[in-house]
Amino acid sequence: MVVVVLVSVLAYALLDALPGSTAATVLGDEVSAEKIAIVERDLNLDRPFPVRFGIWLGRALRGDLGVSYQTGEVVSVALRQRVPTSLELFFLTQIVAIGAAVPCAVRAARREHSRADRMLSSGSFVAIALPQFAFGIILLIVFAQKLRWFPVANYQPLAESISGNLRALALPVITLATPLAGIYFRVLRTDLVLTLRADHITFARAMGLPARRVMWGRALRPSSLTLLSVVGLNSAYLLGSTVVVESLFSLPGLGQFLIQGIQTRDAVKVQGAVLVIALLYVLINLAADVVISMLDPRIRLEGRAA
Amino acid sequence: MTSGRGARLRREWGGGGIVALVWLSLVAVSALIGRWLPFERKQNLRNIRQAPSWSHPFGTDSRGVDLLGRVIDGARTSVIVGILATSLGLLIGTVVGISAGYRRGRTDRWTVVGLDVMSAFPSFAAASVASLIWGQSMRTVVLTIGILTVPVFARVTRSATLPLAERDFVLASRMFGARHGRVMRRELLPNIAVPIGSYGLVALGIVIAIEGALSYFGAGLPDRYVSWGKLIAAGQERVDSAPHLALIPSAVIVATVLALNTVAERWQQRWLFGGRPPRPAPRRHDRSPAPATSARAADRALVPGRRQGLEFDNTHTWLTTPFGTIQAVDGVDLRVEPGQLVALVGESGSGKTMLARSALGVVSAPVAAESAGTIRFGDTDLRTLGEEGLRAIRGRRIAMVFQDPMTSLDPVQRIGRQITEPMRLHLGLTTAAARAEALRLLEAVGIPDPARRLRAYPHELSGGMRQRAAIAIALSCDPDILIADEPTSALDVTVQSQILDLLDRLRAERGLGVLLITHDLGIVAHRADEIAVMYAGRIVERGPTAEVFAEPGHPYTRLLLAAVPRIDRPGHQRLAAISGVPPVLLGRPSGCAFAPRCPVVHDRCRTDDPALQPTTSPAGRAAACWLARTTPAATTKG
Repeated sequence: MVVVVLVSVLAYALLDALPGSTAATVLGDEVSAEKIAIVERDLNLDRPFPVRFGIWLGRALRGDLGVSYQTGEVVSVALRQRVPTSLELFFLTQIVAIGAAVPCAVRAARREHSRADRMLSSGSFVAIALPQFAFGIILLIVFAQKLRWFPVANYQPLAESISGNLRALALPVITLATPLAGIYFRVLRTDLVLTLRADHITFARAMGLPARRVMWGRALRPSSLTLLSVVGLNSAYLLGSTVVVESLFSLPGLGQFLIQGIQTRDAVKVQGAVLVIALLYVLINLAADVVISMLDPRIRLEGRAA
Repeated sequence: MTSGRGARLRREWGGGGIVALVWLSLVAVSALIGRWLPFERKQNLRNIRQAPSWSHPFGTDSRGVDLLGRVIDGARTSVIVGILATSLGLLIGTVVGISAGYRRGRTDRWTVVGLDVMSAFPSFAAASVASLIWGQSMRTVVLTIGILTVPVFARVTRSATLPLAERDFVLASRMFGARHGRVMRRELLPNIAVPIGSYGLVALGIVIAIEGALSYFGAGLPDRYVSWGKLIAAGQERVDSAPHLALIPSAVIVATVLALNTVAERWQQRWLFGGRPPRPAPRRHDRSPAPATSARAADRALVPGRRQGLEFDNTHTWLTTPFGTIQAVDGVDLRVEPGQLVALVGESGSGKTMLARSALGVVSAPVAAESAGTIRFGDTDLRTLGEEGLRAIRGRRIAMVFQDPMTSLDPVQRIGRQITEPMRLHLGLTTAAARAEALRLLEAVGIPDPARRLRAYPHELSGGMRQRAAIAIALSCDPDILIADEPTSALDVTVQSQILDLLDRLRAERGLGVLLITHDLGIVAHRADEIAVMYAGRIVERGPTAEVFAEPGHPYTRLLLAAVPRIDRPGHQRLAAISGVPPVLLGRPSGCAFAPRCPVVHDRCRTDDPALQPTTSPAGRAAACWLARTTPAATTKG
């Protein structure tokens, strides 16, 4: 919660710091003095910073993020349209990353230092190291612009066409999910290898449980706790890179909105977008904590006691 | 000479590491002297957007300028921005991280909150905003990217410092009144330098990529600079006719970042392992010499309903480790009959546990194990069964209980599920039937309020209760043999005797055969029918318990007995400790393995290895000692 408050102060202050008159900045270049006066009153620019910020925050809490003076868009409405795209991209990426990482980690951990393990581990190393931006450009050029397997800048909402929507999201998801999958693989493999050495696994094997059942039923769950907190931690990073990747692939999401706002110096848009992104970040971390406590009864107990 | 150095380089860095180093040197050379290299930098409109060729390996751009030359020029900018921004982030981040990790408490908590805020703020957006506020310049880009890398450096430093700050040498220097600043600089910094430094290389890659993205979206460096990001942006405009213009700089960024990561990883490994990490041989599962028969065949071979004994016949087990092969079990003969309790005694590392685990083929993961010899259950050689056949035996006919009840139960499954799963699997019980049986079992092992315990997680039970639960699980399928590997070592004395009483009762009621592994002779004195003493992978003495206690035939047994506290001895009498440590069994020395520690060693012991043989007197016993054969009565009493 502290994080959201501080981020919103920061978001607000950042635009206050823009050079020149703030009113002139939000209005664009050629405007009359009257208009500037109106805007200044509107934004409470005549009041001291804490008061101004308080008013802005109060409105924001009621869901009013203001109106863009340049395009006339109601920011909260525009954001509401864009949040689903970003969230879809976010969740698809996490699902693909986890979906790729878990079976690979299980395969690699089954026999530590085997050929499969060594190949998967070096693969994950490359995946983690890939710079997303350059990797995304390569994917975009090769698969969308040259080979035309995927649409270029032709986003279809989920409601209109599921296949069209998925095709448009495929490359961005691959771009975002590859490094994540690498990270998740490493974390889970390490934990699985350690868990498989644990007494309770040997005990389960000594009780005649099949190897598959030991792996998926007994080893995976206790091993997945670190993975889950890492998924939570990487959500922030993922939200950040969503900004770049959305712009790169022309997806109408929060990130693209933010970049447009920045490029057109639209203070109201930027503030709104940053606030929503920070809020999502906190919510996602919270969700990760809840899931972890559901999977680990030991933490659940502590929570109840506290 | 040169080849020797090359081989060393290869050993330390690996093939990939060398390629990465070569690539980074190329980039570094380009950054340093690239501007003086003779590339055509004037525009040449007759030569625009050519595909890669011999004269222009990377092709030419929209103004007909050689792209290789442009990429080399771009290296300078990208590397300068990267190094400056990384140094800035590293400097601030390290200071922040060290003080947070070292001071802890409130400083640490607020630092973490601050870092969270910085991370929640989308970094790329922050950089773009900054370039709006302060205008596009080299300084803005370096400052903003540098500050954006602070949180990652601070986190890495903090987590490297936290454990160090507790270590003795740091505490010691604090205690001697060293000032905090000095402790951080002199004691902590050198110890975290390598992880931070190698992370610096990784961050350098990240920074180069961020600069690329910023420049691509027009929020990075001003137009008079040539960077890789700017080349991509310029190429992207012409992507249909000349995709190489954007692809090549992108690939250069990817290659550089990968190379930086590779070098960072190898560097850290050199620091951790003094070279590339040891690679143990992969674990081999197949331990059966004969083709595996099916589980059904195994079942037929075993007469159902009749209790079977377990017999080790010249059993060997080798463990493959990174340091060599260890002979953990070296030709053991041992027999457990139904209803019998056989105690297997010895120090840690004598091979007791390995012997027990070999029976079920469940030697634990970090090592590769191979066995030879025969392990008979009834008339079946367990070693010929294969994994599937063994699975039908494990838990069903032979079960195991481990030493530490804290770790031998699955921490995240309820007791009920853990106890019913084997019954459903082996006996085909329905969930309800298995549950009813589980209640009965928990009651039988002395767990009060079993219905509630079924729903409990292991951490909700005490150590003694957990061990009872583990025994209940082991007994759930009514096995013939229970191998109990130090089942009471982790428990306090009252619980200890309760558990052992329980085992006694089960022997009487069910005809359960128990192989009790322990290092504590005291607890087996009145319970075990037979006792086997193990040393360095071999049985050195075997016989009926009372007789072995009365008249040990091997000097090692005698010393073990002398180490047991006894009520009937005066309190002031010193307990004997056995000097020395058991040998590491990487290579067996010639002669008796116990010779270096033996109080009655003589010349023959050092050269000839005594086999386990029936002693002439007392009869019905066996010992692996020259003295037990030649003059038994004289030595055992003296």
